[in-house]
Amino acid sequence: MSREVTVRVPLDESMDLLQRPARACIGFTGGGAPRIEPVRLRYEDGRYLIGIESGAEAPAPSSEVVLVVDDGVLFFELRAVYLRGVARPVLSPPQEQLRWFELEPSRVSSWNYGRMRWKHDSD
Amino acid sequence: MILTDALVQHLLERAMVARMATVSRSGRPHVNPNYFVVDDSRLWLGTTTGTLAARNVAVNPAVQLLFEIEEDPTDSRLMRITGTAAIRTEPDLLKEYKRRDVRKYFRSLRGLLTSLRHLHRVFLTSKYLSTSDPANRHCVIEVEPIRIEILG
Repeated sequence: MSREVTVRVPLDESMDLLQRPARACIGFTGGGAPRIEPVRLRYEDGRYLIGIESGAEAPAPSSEVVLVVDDGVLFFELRAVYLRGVARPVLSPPQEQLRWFELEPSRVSSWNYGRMRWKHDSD
Repeated sequence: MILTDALVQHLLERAMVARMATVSRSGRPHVNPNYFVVDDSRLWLGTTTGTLAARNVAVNPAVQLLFEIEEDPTDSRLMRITGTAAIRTEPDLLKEYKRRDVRKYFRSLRGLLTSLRHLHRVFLTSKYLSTSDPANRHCVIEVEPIRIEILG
């Protein structure tokens, strides 16, 4: 059996990306077509709060959303956190001028090309 | 606004990562950061046919891409491109994509230094990027822009 190479890393290794996100965006489906919007991410006590510009298109309530936070531009610098889940509007917006949603993730993964390695059973 | 506009070209020359949103056959969204190069009036993103992005494009060619100006941190503008995409696997096109990709991402002092720092991962990289599986071949996602927006 051939060994695999992986760039997956535990989320713990990517916490700085969530706490100080350089670039964050969400993808969702609108009218059957893909939509992408830049967002402000606030990661607070394990909650993923997403701020969308008030004039921008937002995902439909309780619809599926993908959040990607990424950093780096060159091959071995690229790393990201990927979350898939449902976005629900937050009733008490923590900041004005943005509409806030909370992402309840059903899947979280993170990868880092600078940590490329042989895959082990523990990965 | 079209891809060959001076402002669009200016921003694309300073953007390094294309975040591409796609939708699956069942309507589920996906976003992935990709390397990209510009080919006249189209964008080329490198990937393999087995990735979720490529599989989504194969069944639904609608895409939306978001660009930040990573090479100029003082420029807070973003650019969003809505387009239609196609999977291209012709050997000549893949070769040309690879040539431009290497020129853009590796042939700079920073690119070379980063590669040198990770020299011990070169073999792993070739293994990681190799695609012996016929169902997962190298490909280029070619995007034909329909609408270009400057945000911020």
